[in-house]
Amino acid sequence: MKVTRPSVILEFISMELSETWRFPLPELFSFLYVLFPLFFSYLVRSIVMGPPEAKLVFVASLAEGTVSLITILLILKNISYGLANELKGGLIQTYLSYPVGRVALLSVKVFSGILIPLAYVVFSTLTFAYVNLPGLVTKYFNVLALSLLSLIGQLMLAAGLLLLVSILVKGGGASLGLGIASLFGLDALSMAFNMLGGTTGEEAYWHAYYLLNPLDALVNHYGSLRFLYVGYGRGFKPSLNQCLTYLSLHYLIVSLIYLASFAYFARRFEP
Amino acid sequence: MEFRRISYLAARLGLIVIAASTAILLLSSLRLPCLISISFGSLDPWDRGKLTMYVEEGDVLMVRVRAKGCYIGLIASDYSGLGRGRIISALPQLLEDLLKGRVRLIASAKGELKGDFAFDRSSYVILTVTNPSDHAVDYRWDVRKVSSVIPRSRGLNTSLLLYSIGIGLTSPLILSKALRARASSRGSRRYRKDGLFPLGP
Repeated sequence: MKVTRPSVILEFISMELSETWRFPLPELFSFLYVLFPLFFSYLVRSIVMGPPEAKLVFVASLAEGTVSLITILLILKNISYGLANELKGGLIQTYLSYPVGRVALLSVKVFSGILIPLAYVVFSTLTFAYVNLPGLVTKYFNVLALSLLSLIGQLMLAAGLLLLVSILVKGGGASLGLGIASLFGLDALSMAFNMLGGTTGEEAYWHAYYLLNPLDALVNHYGSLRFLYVGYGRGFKPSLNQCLTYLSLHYLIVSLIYLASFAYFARRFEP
Repeated sequence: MEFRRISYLAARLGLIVIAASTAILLLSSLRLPCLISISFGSLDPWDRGKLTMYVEEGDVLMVRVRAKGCYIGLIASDYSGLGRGRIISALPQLLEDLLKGRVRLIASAKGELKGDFAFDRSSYVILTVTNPSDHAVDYRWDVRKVSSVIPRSRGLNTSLLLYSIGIGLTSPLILSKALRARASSRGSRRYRKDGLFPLGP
């Protein structure tokens, strides 16, 4: 039988899924991802906010507060621990001896370790919004999609940093530690911008803050509420165009981090 | 081979969807009691006490009010009716609103009101206690609500939809396994008939 490159990639995906997402883990996660935010349903339905769109942004903010920590933990386990240990243990080197490109191999790892947990977040948020606010979801789907993109962007930024650290460090424990430290650093930087913006009133700090947290820009734009928020309450209120600019630039940063990871793995990486 | 793989993947996705719909079903069947207000004191002559609440479809309001000689009313309206302030304004206006269907009178009594009231749609509910006498009257109310975590009908509909998607995705694998099991059992019967120990006539 002739072995083609796509069939090898499919084999890798199959192996990866059966290793990382064996029964009943995905089913259990699906149950918990849907269950956890839905506990806060009454909060979403009963709180009165300014424009109706604000409720949809609040849904995304609530989903961020409830499921993003679990998602980051999953990504830490899959990438910072799993991938880095495979690099250290030599499994990746064995995979690389198969007729499959480095980029394809890393793409499979990103799909299994990052994109699947993010798909859970999307599914959970959409279900949460549909069950509680079906009318608003159909009427203002663009706002929900924008909020969801912002939320996913923030998680992808954190996941991208973890991926880059794992590839650079190549060791399970060290990669996990440095990954957590880099997330902590990112949060500290973000909070510093928030505090500086709040105390000095300089718009530039708020621009930097919203660049790292595009969901907060939307929250402030629509006058929505935040779930589990530490920082200045009355920040600079951006326009919708500014929110879109923050989001685009945020995705640009995310893309650059992933490009750097892929470029390093494809060209400079030496097991 | 490919069919088996695709059907396996679809079945796993189906199980994921079934797990999600189970979570929704679980929460839509979970009903929690919550305290809305307990209040007591005295009402001056011609004074009125009121409590505004929000109830959703499927909620049950448990109302216990005692105020000797006072008129007690439980009225429901939508948000716009509440915003116009028409519900608890003057009596002629209230009558007009009642007649035009802008507000609904859920219950009324004099002196004491006790009851559990189920709501089939979301609305704002106002409890009013009016003292018509020329002397102060003691009153006490205890209002509680039994509410589901997510609206029952919406939760059931969503979980039903997701269950059907999940079953639809898992059924090809189940069917193919059942067919394969049937075929293999037939094969084994034939083999045993042809073998040394046939199964009989």
